[in-house]
Amino acid sequence: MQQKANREPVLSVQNLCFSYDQKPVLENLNLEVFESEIFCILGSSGCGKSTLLRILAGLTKPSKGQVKFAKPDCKVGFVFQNYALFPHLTVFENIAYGLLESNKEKTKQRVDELAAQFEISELLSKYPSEVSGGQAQRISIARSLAPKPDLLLMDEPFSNLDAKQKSKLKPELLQKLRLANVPTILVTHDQEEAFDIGDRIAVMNEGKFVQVGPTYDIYHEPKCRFAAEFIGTGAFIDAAPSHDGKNIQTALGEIPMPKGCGATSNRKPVELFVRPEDLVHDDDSPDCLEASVVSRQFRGAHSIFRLRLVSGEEVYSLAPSHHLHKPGDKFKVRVELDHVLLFPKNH
Amino acid sequence: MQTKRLAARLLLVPFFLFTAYGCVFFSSLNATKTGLTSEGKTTLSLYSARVPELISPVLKAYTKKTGVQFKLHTDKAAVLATKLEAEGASSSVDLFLTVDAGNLWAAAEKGLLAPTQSVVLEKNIPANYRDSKGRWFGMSLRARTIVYAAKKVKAASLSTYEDLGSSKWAGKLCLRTSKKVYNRSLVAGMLATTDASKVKQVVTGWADNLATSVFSNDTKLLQAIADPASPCAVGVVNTYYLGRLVKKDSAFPVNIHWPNQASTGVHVNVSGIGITKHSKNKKAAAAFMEWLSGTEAQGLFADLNMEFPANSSVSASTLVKKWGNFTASKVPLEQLGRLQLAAVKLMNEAKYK
Amino acid sequence: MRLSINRPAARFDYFSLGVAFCVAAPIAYVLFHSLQKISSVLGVYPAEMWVAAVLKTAGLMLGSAAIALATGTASAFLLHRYKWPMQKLWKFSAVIPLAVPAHLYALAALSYLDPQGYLQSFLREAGLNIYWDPKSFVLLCLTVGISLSPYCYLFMLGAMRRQDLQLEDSAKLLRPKARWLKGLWGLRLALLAPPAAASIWFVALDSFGNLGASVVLGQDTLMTLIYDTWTGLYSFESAISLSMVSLSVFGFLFFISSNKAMPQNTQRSWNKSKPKGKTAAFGFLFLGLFFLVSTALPLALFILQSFRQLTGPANLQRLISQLLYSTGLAVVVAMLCAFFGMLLVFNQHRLKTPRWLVEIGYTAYALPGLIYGVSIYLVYVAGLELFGLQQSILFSFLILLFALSAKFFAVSSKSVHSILSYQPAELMESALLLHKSWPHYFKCVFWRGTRPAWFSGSILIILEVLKEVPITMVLRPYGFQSLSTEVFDLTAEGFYGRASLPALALVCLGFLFLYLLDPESRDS
Repeated sequence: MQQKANREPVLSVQNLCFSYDQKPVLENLNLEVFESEIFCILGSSGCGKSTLLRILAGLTKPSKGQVKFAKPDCKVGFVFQNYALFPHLTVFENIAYGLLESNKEKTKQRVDELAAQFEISELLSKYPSEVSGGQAQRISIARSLAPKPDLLLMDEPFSNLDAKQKSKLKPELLQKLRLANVPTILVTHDQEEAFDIGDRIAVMNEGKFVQVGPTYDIYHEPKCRFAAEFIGTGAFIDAAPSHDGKNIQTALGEIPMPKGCGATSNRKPVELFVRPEDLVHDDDSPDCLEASVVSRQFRGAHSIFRLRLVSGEEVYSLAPSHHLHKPGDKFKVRVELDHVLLFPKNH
Repeated sequence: MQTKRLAARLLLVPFFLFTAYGCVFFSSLNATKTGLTSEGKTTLSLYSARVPELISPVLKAYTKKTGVQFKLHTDKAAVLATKLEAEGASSSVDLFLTVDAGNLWAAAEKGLLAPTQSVVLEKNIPANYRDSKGRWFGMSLRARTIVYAAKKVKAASLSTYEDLGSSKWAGKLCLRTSKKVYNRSLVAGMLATTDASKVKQVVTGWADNLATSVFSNDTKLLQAIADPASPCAVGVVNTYYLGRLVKKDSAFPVNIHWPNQASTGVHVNVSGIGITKHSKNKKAAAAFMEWLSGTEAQGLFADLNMEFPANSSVSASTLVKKWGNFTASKVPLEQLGRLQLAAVKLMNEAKYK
Repeated sequence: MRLSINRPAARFDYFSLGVAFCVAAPIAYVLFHSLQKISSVLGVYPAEMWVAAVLKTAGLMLGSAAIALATGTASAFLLHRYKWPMQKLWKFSAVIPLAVPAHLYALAALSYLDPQGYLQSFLREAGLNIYWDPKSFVLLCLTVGISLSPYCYLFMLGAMRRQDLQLEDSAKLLRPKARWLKGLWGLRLALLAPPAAASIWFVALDSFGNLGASVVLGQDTLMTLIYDTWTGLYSFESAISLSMVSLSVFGFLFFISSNKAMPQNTQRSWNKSKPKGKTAAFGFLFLGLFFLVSTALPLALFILQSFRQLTGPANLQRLISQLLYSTGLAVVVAMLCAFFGMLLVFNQHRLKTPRWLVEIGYTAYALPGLIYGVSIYLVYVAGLELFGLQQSILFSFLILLFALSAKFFAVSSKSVHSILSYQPAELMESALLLHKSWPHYFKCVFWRGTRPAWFSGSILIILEVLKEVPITMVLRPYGFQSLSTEVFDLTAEGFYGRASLPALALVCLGFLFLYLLDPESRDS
């Protein structure tokens, strides 16, 4: 967890707007990034994340709003989605591109240092067309870190790698980024990536930040329907407030009304958001609910079961994978709701 | 967009078929043929280094008179000569028409032309305007003579070609490039009558007197001489170029001077014709040449380009006659060919570009 | 681990060998035939003349290459990046020189700039006492350079379109303060070096073989000297032997160029912006000037002089027949080149033919047209004699088509080869894994991928054949006159006025085909 108080943000964005061809792409974005922080912007394709990154880098001018850097003349490093390595230069020259030092020794030292860090020392004399995807990614990151930037921007850096490469490189990269101690903004559509790497996440939808905060908060306390749906798995089931206003009636039983929830007073229809881990598989416990299995997704150590409740609504349940229930089987669950998430119903 | 491209491409197929049909159809109109080819009519094939304008009317007239058809192929003289050489015995070409005795001599030397014995030709064409062995015959004459701007030069100060090399013409003389065969023949003609060292002196003098860089053609040279702002006052051109300009503008301010009247005479050259060695229609070709040298055709042929008829009994056109009478050089034109190489070498050494 | 598919492993490319033989054998035959008869014409020209001619030719090649590259790149850069008013007009004028033979540009330049031409006459009337001879080496470089600039323009434009846009962004961020060569411009130049080199191949060979413009402007280049040994000294053999110098230029270009692949891809479509400030001012100045020089002024001249020449139906009929013949010839040659070229390039692509074998097929392009034309004629006549056949219109047509195709197929094949070099090597493997048949690969992958290059290559060939004079003249069947040979005939005799109408027709025909070449409306 971060200590946010009493720290100046390295970068602060206020009321940023951008339109293209009269169509708004980014609307009223506010953002602050602090030292030694890895900030993730998470959103589906086309929501404007890359545009935001380009504005932060200074490659595009915003229509409205301000981008303020704590340091004047802030050096920004950028890692592009397809790495953008200069094809006519060797790997060494690529990494050294940002180092306009007249001292060749110093340049060589810095490049060697980074190459050792990213394990690409044997590739230094090759050309970008001769290296693999994973290697290119590392070269690209090394190149942007070489001039010791004050801020690092990464545009979907893992999207061009396969799963195995990703799972290997992500923790490595995380470690190296922490070592480098550079504030980073990473843009991605992969939530696992965001969870793995980000200290704070901003969920973006249609050019607006839907929610900004630490990973835990966003997962467990999504502030809106979109955030809830976008992050992790879950299902919506109908919920109606009980007559006394203290409980909520759902197909899973009665659930205490969360504090400070104003949904009931409006008398608008609401839905309860249920995550897989909220429904624990328990065949023995007395206050279990019966449900039937619709489908099962194997996830390695555990499986996610899609269940149909008596009411006909469908929910998810997380269970260790040695439970081999097949579609149609009876499946008993126990409700363990830590966070009650109510949202207005979509029409 | 893709369909547009595809459509454009597919359109090319019928377009091609149409153009193929079109050109075959139109070419029959374009070709130098009159009437329909019928059995028993001879067709003479002619390689001409002169453009079609300058020969087709004559061919048409002959066809009208005798019914003999012609196949005309034009190209540069050197190319035609090489083609004839390559074709050898299988050649179907009957006649070779070109300009300048140098070219004719070279063709004869390469063995491309057959000797023709013809009393008519020998009577009509003076001896020095034809090959001594009868391989080619000059059919029209042109003079390469001195021209001057009436307003810049007094006629009396002009005398000979050689005089143009003297210092009094420094910065006033303009000439065509030495690469053109007309100038080479001019120098070859001088070599035939004068000592080589003297000729070299003259040519060096010419090169030194040049007011501007050499011209690529006579017409531009004449226009420069006529231009009051230009330093060019005097030059050497073929008479018909002046004729063409005068035809367009009768007040063209350039006059002709006939040099060397007391000595060697004005340099003349010919456009000539000869029968090819492997012609299969030698008799018909000779008949055509005889007709061309005769009183009927000489006038027509020479007038096409404002030249002088080779046949001395035929008078030139009125426009040409206006230039006055002159004594032509008596050097047999064969010599111009024989001395070409020496002339070229000399001009290069004299630095006449 | 690579799977081995039904791909012929190291099979020799006999088809390319066959093509190379057909193209180069006539040259070898003629060379052999000439060497036996070589006469010492060299002595007729003093050594200084030869040295001066060689230097001038080298200077012409460098000068015209520099001008072509500069103008072509500037046009491509300005038109690719910015949105100008009347964009289509500037785009058109950048490729117009493809439709105009170089010697026509030289003649037009002289008509305007001669002492008796429009400019100086006007200045003199205005009171300026000026008499200036414009015929100079610089003017020759300018006319030849401008007439060849479309090659550079097209290659550069293609490369700019294919460029990865994020490379420039990277450079901007990594070196925010660097200017010019250390900054963005250094990157742009480095990335444009391969297409520049590819276009220089055409420019160098074309400028080396240039004859018409050199003669018009009175400059003694190696080619005019070689030509003179033939026309002036009647030694065809010397001309042939000396022309083989052009093959050394060809060889030199072969060695200095390479086919290093530059895999690049576009990330997003380029958003053109309106030019501002200095860019707008200089850009407009350049585009306007280029338009004036390459299009407006020559065209105005031809139109003006043509109006005076439109006499009677006979003239028109002749013009139309020449028009049809020129077009038909050009289109058929282009189709032949496309058809055979496609088979050839596909085979070379499939069998990974060594570069030297591929390039031998291009030697006909390296030789001056006149020399190659007459060489073919010699072989043709010898062949007819060998088989006891008679000359006929059909044979003449066939031999003409062969000579033109052999000379120009390099234009489309080379551009397709460069497109293929951008393709990742795995494309062929992956396609064959999915569907193990060569015909299918040809139809769905090769043809689709290279179709735009074939199309634009064919248009270029059509334009080249329309302009071509020497081969068309030497090998033409009896009775057929093309627009280009007509123009050449008339201008050689000094009938400039009469040459204007066919010249105008020639250029308009070129315009028509250029419209189809318009790069913007093609799919990339």
